[in-house]
Order: sequence, then structure tokens, then C-alpha cells
Amino acid sequence: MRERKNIDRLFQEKFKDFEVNPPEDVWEAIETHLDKNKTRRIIPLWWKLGGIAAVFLIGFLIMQNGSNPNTIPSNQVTVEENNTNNNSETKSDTNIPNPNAVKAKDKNQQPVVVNNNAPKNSPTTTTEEAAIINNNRLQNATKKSHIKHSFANKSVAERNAAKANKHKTDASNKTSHQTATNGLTENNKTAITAIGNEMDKPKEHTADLDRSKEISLEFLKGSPKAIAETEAKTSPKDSAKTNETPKNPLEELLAAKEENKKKPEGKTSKWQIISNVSPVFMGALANGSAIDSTLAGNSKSFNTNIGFGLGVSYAVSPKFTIRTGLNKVNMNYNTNDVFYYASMDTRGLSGLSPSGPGYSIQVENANGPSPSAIAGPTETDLLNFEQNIVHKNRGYINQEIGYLEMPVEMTYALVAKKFGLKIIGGFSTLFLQDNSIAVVSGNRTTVLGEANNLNNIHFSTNIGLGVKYDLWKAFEFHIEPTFKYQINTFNNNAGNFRPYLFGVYSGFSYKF
Amino acid sequence: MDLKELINDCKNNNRKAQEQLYRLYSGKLFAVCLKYSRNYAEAQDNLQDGFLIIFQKIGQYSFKGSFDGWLKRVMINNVLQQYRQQTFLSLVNEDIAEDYEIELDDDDISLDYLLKIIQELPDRYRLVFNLYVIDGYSHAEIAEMLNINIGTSKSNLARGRMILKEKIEQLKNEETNKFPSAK
Repeated sequence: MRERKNIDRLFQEKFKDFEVNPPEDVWEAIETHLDKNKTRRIIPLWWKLGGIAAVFLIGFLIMQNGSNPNTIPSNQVTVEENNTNNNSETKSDTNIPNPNAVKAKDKNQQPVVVNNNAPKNSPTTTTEEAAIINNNRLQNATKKSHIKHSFANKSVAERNAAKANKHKTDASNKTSHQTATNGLTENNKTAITAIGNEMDKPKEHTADLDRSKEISLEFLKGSPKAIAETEAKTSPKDSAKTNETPKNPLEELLAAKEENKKKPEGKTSKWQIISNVSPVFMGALANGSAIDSTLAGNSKSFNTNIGFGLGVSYAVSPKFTIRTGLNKVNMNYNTNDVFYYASMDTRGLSGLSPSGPGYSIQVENANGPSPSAIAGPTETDLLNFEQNIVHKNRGYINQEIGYLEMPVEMTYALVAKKFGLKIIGGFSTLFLQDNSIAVVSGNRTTVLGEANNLNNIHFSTNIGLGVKYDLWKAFEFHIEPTFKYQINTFNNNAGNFRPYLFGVYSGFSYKF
Repeated sequence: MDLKELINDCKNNNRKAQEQLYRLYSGKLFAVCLKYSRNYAEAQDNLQDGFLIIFQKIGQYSFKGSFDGWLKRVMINNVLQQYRQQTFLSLVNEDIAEDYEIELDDDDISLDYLLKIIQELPDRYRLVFNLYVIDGYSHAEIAEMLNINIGTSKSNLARGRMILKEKIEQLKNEETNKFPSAK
């Protein structure tokens, strides 16, 4: 069967379901490449450092927010502690039938119950007064507790509670003695049973204990004989001594605690403001051109810019700090050896979104064959004689890219004296700010437009070495040469063009 | 496992899924590579590079449009990329006869032969012919993909067709000479 056939149709039909299985080793090769890509991720070392820094930062912020609710439980703890402190005082006081002692004792108790139940005319005024004092004390205590660290408080409170328990048992012995001699009132009995029953709550214990003590004291007050007896009993113990000995260690402890608390706060100021100015050197790890593939072979010259920024750092530990901030960075490089001229029909540079004159300017690689030679002549190309007439400017392409950089970095101090040395790792997020491509010939600059292949946001991984010197007190001077490898600067591979930045960040920082 | 799941697994760099995807599509895509490449070995290289790019960029596939089409486009672009980096021979523009008709018997030309003569075409002709005739791209699209003018694309296509036609006719003549009795 013969027929005349359009050659296109012949191929279309034949290739319609064209499928060929590739040799098996292709997949193997792909697999090994994929594996290589996986192992090639060494960069994540910096990511990890940065990640750790970020975690610390976030954790710190959460802790800052969470610290307010934390103070509430610590308050409670301190109240308890104070009570136990007072109790220990009162314990010693019980031995001295002394109005002052009564006052001290009253601090801890709910005076209403006691007064009502007191068999004798207890000095109501004193208890009320005591209650006020007590309140004041409590307020003071809570104030103090704000400053104090909750952990420390807890442990101290526990210790005190234990002490109080000991005292309590002593005291209860004593009170039972007293009750034995004096004859017990109903109240005392209940108080003592209360002591027995509420073994697990030291605070209430001591309160009850006090109550019973006070009652017994009041009882004693009322009956001179009992007073005489108790005085006789207690007098051997030096009242002044007993009063002060338990007080002093506790107060010392308190004072020491507060001092300890204050010291680290005063000495290691954790926050630091950092300013820096830096010459930023740009370079590229691989050959290629982000502007057009035909320019991949052209030499590039990278210009040095000045970057500047401000940041804060927070010392997680004496050696580790995390920091963040905001820097302004400009990159700027030239692609050398190009011709450019006005043309009716331009073959645009692939990485350029032209604007204004950029639409009608043809840029060619001065070293290679012209694109028209590559593509084959067309009707819109210049004829030979025209080519001679057209003036081609020789010059270079200047690409300028500006970023706002937000680093999250972690530093580790190798030497932390007056002179310090540290390593820096982390990453930055860069927000595209300026973007322009221009051709320059002599001192004439013509803006072609902007690059169309730059990502609005990209990242860099940073690694550097920092040297600092303490100038005085909170001021220090630092120099930090840092290498910043740019990840995904371009949204396509841009002809294998991978820029990096190297900055020598130097400036002053202030601790506060 | 449905395709969407498979694609998502590939996005997560799951090696099993990647292999499955490769098994599913390598036949079709190797055919693409064969058409666009100069020979079998080059096609094999292109397939390998193309799949690496596919696995690298699969995250960008957002389930809009057919996945087959996306894969093919990535593969074609990958092949074109190889040629963009090389400089093409300068080709002479000339008037082309606009006769694409050819007299032939049904089934008397093997696919292998057609593939062979496509591969033997000069690079630019081969690319344009494949893009336009077999894969259905317009001259405007081709011009953009190859960074050339539309006019260049058209003339390249015509030159390619001419060469193919000549080769097919040549084959037929050889066959008639070999087997004169067949006629």
C-alpha cells in the first residue's frame, strides 16, 4: 500500500507511543548520585549551630514570659519558709515568758481562734498588733521572695520545715511538760491533738503548736504559781542566747542567699548590644553567570562594599552566647568584557527583567561568538556593512544586590579573658532590598533593569572567628572575620553561580 | 499507591518512592532523551542528569497540570541546557523547498531508522524538529526555549525536514535497488 504522506505525520505516528527502557545501570548511577547528595550536606553543621542558637533564643523568650506566673508559687513557698522561721523563733521564745516573745509567737497564728478560746484574759491588743506585724512581715517576705530564686527557696524551705519539725517535737515535749504541771485547758488539748494529727503540714503544725504554746503561756501568766514554775524551768536557758542563736544562722543564710543572688546578676551582665561595620568581600565558589549563560566564561570582578548593622547578644552560659540583629549588606560585582549596543531586536539576557532602555540594548559576550552567529542570521539581524556602522560599546555589566540580613548566630568562647577568642556559627535570613543590573562603559552607566532570578528571601550559613578586647568595664572592641555561604540566592541554578560573602565585622559592644 | 502519594514521598526524599517513580517513567523519558540526543550514550547521560534534576525539583511540582507533562518538560529543558552551554555551528540560511510530502509504503520504515536519522541531524535542527513536530511546541515557545528568533526556529525546522526527507528517500532507493523484484 502506497501513499503520499506528510513527513511530520510520519514521525508523529511513529513516535506517538515511543518508549524505551533504559539500561539498568542508569538507576544505579542515579542512586549513587542521590546518596552523594545526601552525604554532601556538610553545611548543616552550621545549620545545626544556628538551630541550637534559635532553640536557645526561643526557649529564653518563653522563660521570660513564663517567669511571672512562676513567682506566685515561689511566694507561697517563702511564706511557708517565713512561718517556719518565725516558728523557730517562737520556739525559743516559748521558753521565756516575755511579752515580746508572745508577740513573736503571734505572728504565725490565727489570733481570733486563740483569743476566743483562751481561758484567761489574753492581751487581745497584742495579738492584733502582732497580727499586723505579722502581715507586715509577710508582705516583706513576699517582697523578698520576688528576688529570690524559687529553687533555692524550696530547698531552704524544706530544710526549715525539717528544722521546724524538730523544734516542734521539742516544743511539744515542753508543752506537755507544762500541761502536766499546770493542768491543761481544753484548748491546749485540742492544740496538741492537732499537732499530732497534722503531721504532714509543717506550717499548720507550727501554727497550732504556737497556739498551744501561747495558750499555755497565757495560762501561766494568769496563775503566778505556774509562772514561777515555768520561770524556774526556763530560766536556766539564757533567754538572750536562745533568742538569738536560732535567728542568726537563718538570717545569715538569708543574707548569703540574697548576696549570692545579687552577685551573678551584677557581675555577668548577660545582655550585650553589638554594633558593627564591615568591609564585605564577595566571591563565588563556582564559575557561571547569574545574568546569562553566554557570559559564564567571562571574568567576574567582585567589589568590596561596606556593611553595617546592630545586634543584641545574650549569654546563655559564660562561654555560649546567642545573638541576633539586623545588618545591611550590599553585594556588587562586574561581569567583564561585554559589548553592548542599541538594537531593534534584542535577545534579552536570560537573567534580566529589562526596564526602560534595557529593552533595546543588546549585550554580547565580547570574547565569544555573537548570539546571532550562534543562532544563525535572521531578517532582523544587521547586515555585514551595518555591523560595521553600529558602534559597539565595550564595557562590563554591573550587578548590584542589596540585602537586609537577620543573623541568628551562636558563639563559643575559646578564651574569655580581657582578650577573648570565640568561634561563631549560625545562619542568616536575607531579605532582598536592592536589585539592579547595569552596563558600564567608561564612566557611563546605563541601567538595564533588574535580575529576575533572585529570590526575595534567601539564607546563608555563617562561620567565623571573633577576637575581642575589653576596653573598659562594659565596653569591648571586636573583630570578627566571618564567611557567609549563600544558599538559594537564585531561584534557578543561574548557571552554577554560587556567591559567598566574607566580612570582617568589627565594632564595639556594650554590656548591660 | 496513588501517584500523588508517590510524588509526596519523592518530595520527602524517600528512596523507595524515587525508585518507583523512576521505574514508572524512565521508559517514556528515555525515549525523549533518545530523540533529543545525538546517540544512545548521550541519551543515557541526559536521562541520568534529568532524573537527578527531577528529584531535586519535585518539590516545585504543585499538582497543577499533568505530572507527565511536567516530567517531560523538565527532561527536555535539561537536554536543551546541555546544548545551550555548547556553541552551535553557524548555519547558513537558504531557501527551502516547502515540500514535506513523501511517497512511502506503510510500515516500511522502522522506528529505529527514524530515530537514527533524527539523531544524525545537526543539533539545532534536531532540537527544533523534535520540539515542533513531535512534542508540539510552537515556534514562539521554541524561540524562547532555545534563545533564538522565531524566524530562526522556522528555518531550522525546514532544514531539518529536508534532511530527513532526503534520508528517507535515499533509504527507499537503496531498498528498491536491493530488491528490484519487490516492485
